[in-house]
Amino acid sequence: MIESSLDRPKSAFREGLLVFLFTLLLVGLHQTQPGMVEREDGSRVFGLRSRSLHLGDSPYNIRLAYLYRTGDVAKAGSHFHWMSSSIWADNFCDKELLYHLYLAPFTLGARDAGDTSALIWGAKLGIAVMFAFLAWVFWAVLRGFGVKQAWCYVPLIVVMGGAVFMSRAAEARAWPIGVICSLTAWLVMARNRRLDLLLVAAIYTLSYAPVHFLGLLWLVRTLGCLLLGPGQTGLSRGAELRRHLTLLAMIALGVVLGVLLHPGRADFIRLWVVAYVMIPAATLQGPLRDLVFNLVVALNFATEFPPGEAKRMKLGLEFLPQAGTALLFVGGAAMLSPIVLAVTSAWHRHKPRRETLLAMGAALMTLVMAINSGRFFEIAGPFCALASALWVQDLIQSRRMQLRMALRPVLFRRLRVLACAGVFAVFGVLWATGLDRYPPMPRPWRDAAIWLRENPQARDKIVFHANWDTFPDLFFYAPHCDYIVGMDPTFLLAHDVEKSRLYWDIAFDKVDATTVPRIREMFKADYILVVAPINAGLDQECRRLESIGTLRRAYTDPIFNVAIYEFAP
Amino acid sequence: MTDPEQSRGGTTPAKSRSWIAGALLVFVCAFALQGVMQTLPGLVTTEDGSSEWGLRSPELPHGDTPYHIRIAYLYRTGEIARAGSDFHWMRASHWSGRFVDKELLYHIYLTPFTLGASDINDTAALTIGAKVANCFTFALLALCLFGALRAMGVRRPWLFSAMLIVLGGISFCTRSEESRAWPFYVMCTLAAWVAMARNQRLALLLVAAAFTLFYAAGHFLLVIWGIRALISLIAGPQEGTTRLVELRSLALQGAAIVGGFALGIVMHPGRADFLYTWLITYVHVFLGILKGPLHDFAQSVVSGIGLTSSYSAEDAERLTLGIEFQPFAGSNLLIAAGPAFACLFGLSFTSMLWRHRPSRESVMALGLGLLSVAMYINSMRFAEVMGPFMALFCGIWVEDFLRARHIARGLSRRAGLARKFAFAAAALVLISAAAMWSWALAGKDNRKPSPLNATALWLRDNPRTHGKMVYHAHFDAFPALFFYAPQVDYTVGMDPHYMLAHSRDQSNLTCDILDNNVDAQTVERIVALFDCDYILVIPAMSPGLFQACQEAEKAGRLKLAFVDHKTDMGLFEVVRK
Repeated sequence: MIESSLDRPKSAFREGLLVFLFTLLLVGLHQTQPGMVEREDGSRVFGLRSRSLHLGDSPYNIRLAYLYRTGDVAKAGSHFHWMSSSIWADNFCDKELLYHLYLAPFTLGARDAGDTSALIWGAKLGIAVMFAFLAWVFWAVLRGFGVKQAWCYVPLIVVMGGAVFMSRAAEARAWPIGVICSLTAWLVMARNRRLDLLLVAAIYTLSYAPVHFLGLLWLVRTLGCLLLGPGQTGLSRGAELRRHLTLLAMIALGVVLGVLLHPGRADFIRLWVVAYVMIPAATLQGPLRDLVFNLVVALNFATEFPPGEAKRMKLGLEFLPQAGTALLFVGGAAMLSPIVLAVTSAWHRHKPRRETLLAMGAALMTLVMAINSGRFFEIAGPFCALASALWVQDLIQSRRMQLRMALRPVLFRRLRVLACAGVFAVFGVLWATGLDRYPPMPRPWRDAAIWLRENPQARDKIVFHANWDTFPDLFFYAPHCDYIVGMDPTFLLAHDVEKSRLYWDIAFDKVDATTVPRIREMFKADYILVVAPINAGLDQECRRLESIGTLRRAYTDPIFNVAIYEFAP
Repeated sequence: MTDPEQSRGGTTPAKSRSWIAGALLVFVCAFALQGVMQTLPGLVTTEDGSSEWGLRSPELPHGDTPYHIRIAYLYRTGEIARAGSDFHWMRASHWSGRFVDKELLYHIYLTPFTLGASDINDTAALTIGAKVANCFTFALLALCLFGALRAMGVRRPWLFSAMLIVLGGISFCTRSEESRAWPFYVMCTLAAWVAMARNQRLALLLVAAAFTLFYAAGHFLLVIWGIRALISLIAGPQEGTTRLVELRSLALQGAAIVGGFALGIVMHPGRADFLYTWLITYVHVFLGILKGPLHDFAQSVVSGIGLTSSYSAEDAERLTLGIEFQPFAGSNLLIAAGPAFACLFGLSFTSMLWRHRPSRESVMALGLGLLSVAMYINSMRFAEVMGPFMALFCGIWVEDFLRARHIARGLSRRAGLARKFAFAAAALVLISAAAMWSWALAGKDNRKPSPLNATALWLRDNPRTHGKMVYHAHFDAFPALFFYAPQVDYTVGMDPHYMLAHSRDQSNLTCDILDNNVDAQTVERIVALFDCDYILVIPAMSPGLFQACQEAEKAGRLKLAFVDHKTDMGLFEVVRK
């Protein structure tokens, strides 16, 4: 059956539509996890097992999209008061502006700010549509490069990105737009379409601020072209260099255009430096990190950035690298494919085309990024898949291979079917593994956030929380209150070193009698949220202050041991 | 690449002399390099503050080195033979009743290096002996790689032998400093690779037997045989043979390896318990280093075939293995394995771009290189295989590339440029090797003995303790204790799995102590379960146990026998009523 479908001619429209719908269905199943659900009386019925959002930034992104819809973000302007102790508090610039605007229609189901169920389903639908679009763009880029039966290669994205890609794909995040723009830019650069590149760079800048990635892709192409020589383009090396410099200028102009079109243009560069220089620097080790930090301070992009404080911060788990068998398991296909493909080509005396080699160069760059930091399998997956697809296509189309295939058509047809089945099988296993996991559950502090939402007294008050990664949920359930910091602790450090120092002292349970008064004084907090299993020191101190009347316990969740304390008047 | 068969015969006397000179050069250089690593000559600050030229490394490196040289000494004095299968020095391990020396020939190899020791307490002579043995071992390893490269028809094998250091990276240099048996298994593997390439089955059988006696992980030969077999089947039969003939030949090679493994076991004095020790060391410990879904999968396979019936997976997960089993990750991995990655990608891409079709032997060597890199990614200790195997791969591939007719023709047309390029490549390899070795040396300073030294010396010099049992919660304290005070018995060493295989209760209690889950009953449980006479406490590592021992001392159940004020380590004696 697969065999016949491989050879059957299809219209591009139908094929593209199938890729889109099939991905939509698969991601939709992943988001909803249909299966047997246990009811309160113990009976089991067929239903949707996944009714919450996955751990991570999804709640923040969908809530922000809702606030764009209601105009609250516009009203706040550059003062993102929800993160009162971060650089966003006065210099807000939405680094994923277009992504949030994309999500806004998915919030239309929500009647009011408290209708979080509708927002959850909206986010799930938004994720499914985004990934269907990503798969479609990948398919379209392959077709743009002349790959036949491009749909066969689409599951390679997951095979190459592995389990990390699957887990990152479960969240509502802006990176798929970055991948879409990168893939499109790669095709546009190959076709030397300057105006298109400018537009892609501008869209990239507006959707996902790390637009410098386009510069890296350009660098790989340029170096590759200079190394490999002009090939069949008929250009001299000098002319080719000029052509590439023009492309670079287009990227730069696109970025400038994107920044100019951005409502937060005044603070864009500063935010970019903090998010894409300081945060990556914090993942570095040793003197290199100190050098980057000192440079940032010297350029006046942050008030102060002491390396000692930066080293204490615990960044998101996504920045940790995969190690050992986990790396082999997740990145095995991506690491092995360049070698296997190169040796296969050498074995058959096939020299791939320049474009194939350039794509492999980009794939190797993303692979290095992914080895350094696990999250980058999100970009390594699509680029390794692109390079592999181009390579396989190139190999199949080579004269020597065509001759061999003509000599032994049955064997090669079987091999094609086998390879196709292998890719789909691995994809199926990875997809099913993701489906089989426990569905996401509400976080322990959800009920505390709902209490804040339901309590009119808490409106517009500042809630201190000692864990920056509780912010997305707090913001999602109770956007009527303001919080300290979210998304990344570097935003707090770049805002105020002293606040950051106190914050991390509390996180590491270095709590004394002055801690709570300092929270009040420095953060202007009205409430303190304590998650006792995480903040044991703060919990103990708050209990002591409650016993002497300095604090009042406003809310208690005995099951998860979460409490909200209010400062006594 | 030349046919290995061809390279054996027809050498002229001049070539033979250059071969010997090359081998000698490799041996002497490797010996000298390791000698520098072992002694660290440099400026030493004397007690009066002045600096003078001296050796900065009078002590053994931390790790298993003290254990190996001590056991070699005990082989020499006949103590091991007397102990038989009861390795009483590790009473709370499965070695106590079912001892099988998994590195038998290595310890016998070390024995002559202990001849300088005047008696059991002459640890200074044993230290020097271990260092000299290490220099020999490292030189032998380099020589063996040189021999394997030459046997595979690689010209200038000395240059590729230097790549051992570059490709193994900093982890390889660090591991080469220790006295361990791994260089011998690497040597055996290299020899087996050549024997398989030449289809010398008897040699393969003998190598497999020697491997088993040097290092019990004889199954590793089957893994590399599997790689050769797989690539042979994918690449198709060699010219002049059929697939069936090749399959038969491969099957016979596999049988030779299994036969050699069996021969090794039969020749081993501990043959009765060999398979049991093999199972614990190479199945259970191996499972402990896997992570994620692969771990779960391997665990279920092993349980499915009934290999873990006496073994609890939950208990095993509590064990903390040695640092050597940890993997490198992130930018550390990119730096440490960077040269290996660069060679894998660089060589295969170069062949493809120059339309060079690699020979079957080259592709098989690539398979070996890939296996070694995957092992290294999984666990950094496998730099020990990544260095030599990647060097072998590079040698075979580059030779193959240079001998390709169109490449050779191109090179002869531009002889001057080719020569300059060869010089530049050789200089790059040698400079990189020197830089890597210097980097490894820069971080070393073995001026101080093991922190356990004073405690162990007290045990040694105190006749009351001889023949008694000391409880220690940290398995990696054993080598130093055993080295300085072999008159005393301990709980476990080398790997915590050995205790779990012996007694689940003992293992869980020790894990509790290491997790600081200590209560008022802990000391009594230690005494009851381990029947120990002393408890060694390292307050910095197990504060809970220290507190419990202090309370037991107040209660009169323990007596503080010794305190090392430098390290705060203490020995509590159990008061018997």
